[in-house]
Amino acid sequence: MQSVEGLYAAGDVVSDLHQLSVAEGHAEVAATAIHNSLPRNFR
Amino acid sequence: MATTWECLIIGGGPAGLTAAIYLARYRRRVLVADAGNSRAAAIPESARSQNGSSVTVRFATGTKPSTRTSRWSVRWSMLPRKRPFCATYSASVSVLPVADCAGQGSQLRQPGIKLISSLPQDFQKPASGIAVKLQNRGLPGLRCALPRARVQSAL
Repeated sequence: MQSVEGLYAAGDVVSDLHQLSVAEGHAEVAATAIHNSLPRNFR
Repeated sequence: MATTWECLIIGGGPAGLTAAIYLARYRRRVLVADAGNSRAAAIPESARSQNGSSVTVRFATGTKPSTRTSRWSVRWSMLPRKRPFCATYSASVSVLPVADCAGQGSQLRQPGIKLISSLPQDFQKPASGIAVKLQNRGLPGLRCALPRARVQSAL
């Protein structure tokens, strides 16, 4: 859940376990959410 | 070189670079603002000899991959490997120093999507330059959210 529309977080700023695998997992989830929220492109 | 960005990522550490690679695979144009002092660069990279008697420890700031790649050093030399890997997506991803990103804020595509992956004390500096420009582009509350780290994961 975002507290600010259009703003995502991953890595050390997230108050979760500070592990590389957790950071990468959050980043992948966030990147996918960002992609899905953006208008489609056909590049 | 892309002139408009669909997403701005603040912080070029493990999370920021991973997100950049993913978004590049989704064919999104990404700008990564990197101060270059990721915490992951301080993780020691170790190489253990065959008999396990000698252990050499160095820090993963170099660009040359370790010749002896153990199960652990693959992960520990992450940043030197991930940065060039990110550069293979140079058509979609641009990793710039924080100072060079301030002028790019006006080229962010509407609506500006941002991903923060840097520690609060690191991104307060870019926040003053980038966030001010982004605040007028459909993201009220970003400026106050950044220093207080009132952001949550996308989970």
